[in-house]
Amino acid sequence: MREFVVVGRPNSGKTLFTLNFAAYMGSKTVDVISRSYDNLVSCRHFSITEAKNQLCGMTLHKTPFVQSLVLKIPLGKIDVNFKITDTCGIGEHIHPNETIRRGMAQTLSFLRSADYIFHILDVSGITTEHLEKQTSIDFDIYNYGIVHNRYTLLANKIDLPSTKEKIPKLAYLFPKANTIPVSALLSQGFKEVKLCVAHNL
Amino acid sequence: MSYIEPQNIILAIEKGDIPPSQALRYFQEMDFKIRTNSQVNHSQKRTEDILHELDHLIGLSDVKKIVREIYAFIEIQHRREKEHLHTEPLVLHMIFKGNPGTGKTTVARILSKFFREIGILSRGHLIEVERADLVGEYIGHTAQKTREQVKKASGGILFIDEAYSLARGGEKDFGKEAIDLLVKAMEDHKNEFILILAGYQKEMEGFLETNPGLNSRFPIHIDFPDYSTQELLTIAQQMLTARQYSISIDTTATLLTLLAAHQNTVHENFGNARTVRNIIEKAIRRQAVRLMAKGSTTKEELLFIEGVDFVEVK
Repeated sequence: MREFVVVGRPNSGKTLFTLNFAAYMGSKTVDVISRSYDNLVSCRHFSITEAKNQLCGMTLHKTPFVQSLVLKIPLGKIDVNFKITDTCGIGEHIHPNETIRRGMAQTLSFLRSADYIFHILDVSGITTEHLEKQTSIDFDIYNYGIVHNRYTLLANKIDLPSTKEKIPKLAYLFPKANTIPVSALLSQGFKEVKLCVAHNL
Repeated sequence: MSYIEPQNIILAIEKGDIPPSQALRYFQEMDFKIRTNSQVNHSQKRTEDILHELDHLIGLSDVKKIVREIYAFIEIQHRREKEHLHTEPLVLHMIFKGNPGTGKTTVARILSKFFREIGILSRGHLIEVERADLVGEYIGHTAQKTREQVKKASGGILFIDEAYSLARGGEKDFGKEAIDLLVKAMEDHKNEFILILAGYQKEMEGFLETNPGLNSRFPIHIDFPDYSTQELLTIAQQMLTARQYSISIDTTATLLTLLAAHQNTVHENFGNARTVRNIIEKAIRRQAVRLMAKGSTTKEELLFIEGVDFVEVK
């Protein structure tokens, strides 16, 4: 089964994207398989609304370790299963909390082994510093993904008015990336993401 | 600090020794090294395997020498390009001259694989055509057929056997049109395919003399000399070994006499390695008939071709 890993900074909307994308693909309920950093696997069954209430939030590092969903996509006359894995957000600096550091290490481990990378970028977080120094972790993820040729940038939070003027700058910041503007909250741009999944299965 | 294994990087993040951004850069370097090394090693190994396959062919020392020269030339052109020096254009259209069964098609097949490995050809396939595949029957038909073959050969080698037959029909024949189209295609698509014209020595020389424009467009001319009797014997032994058969010393002498007789008596139509293959296959069938008469056979009997099996082979 092909595995698509969703990575990005903390609070960029990875979990909300994963759950709303599952809903867009026709799932009413989801089995969330979590794998802790010591390889303890647990499975929880949720409705999409319950999952969003429990797993998403405004606090940083709400997702401390990877959690996967198995979804179906119709290809021709058959349905093909694929795995989408939501990860712990990664930042530029060494985190003081060991649990979070382990979560980040697990994210990078999955990033290396995944078949495809969906990099969620919080467009509202693009600042002048980004434009000048390009020091954000997002550039490191981008550089890693581009080299591996199995990467798509999902420019998230396009529903916010402040992001409108920033979208055109993405072509300058991430020139080689295949970019899809999305709103994880409003499920916008998911048709293109679905096409991307179908294309890379 | 340098990290050798990806697991060490993961541990370093967990311990708080390096930030995730640094880890990603380490991973990138690590993956790049692994990929580059494996690509270079695989490509080099495949190129060596192909050259080994060529070296394994009996005789053809001139052919082997020219292929090595081409390899060295291409390699040096690449190195010059890296140093921003002037490079010679790589025109690799060839003429193969030799009697039937001297290995022209076999060498062309090996060359197609070789050129793909060293990056000259994108697909490295061989399209083998003759007059009938290129020359049409009515006006406009030849252009259509020739263009189709050139298109098919894109990324590979277009091998025209008995190429002189294109000029066989004289001025009014459509063969001349095919030649003109091929010359144009060689110029227009020079980086996309390699054209090899093959045929008997004498006829090819006559063909090139009557079409002086052609000669200058083929920088590489390779002669395929007839095999000596000893070389033919080695080829026969190779063929027998490949089919899990064997011959005794006495039978070897019989086979040698048979090959020499073939070379002396029917020289004009002698098919060299192809004739050897036919002789071997006939002998194998004769052996089968001989053994069928016996009720039971030993492993040794099944393995050995006797002198008597070669006697009746013509």
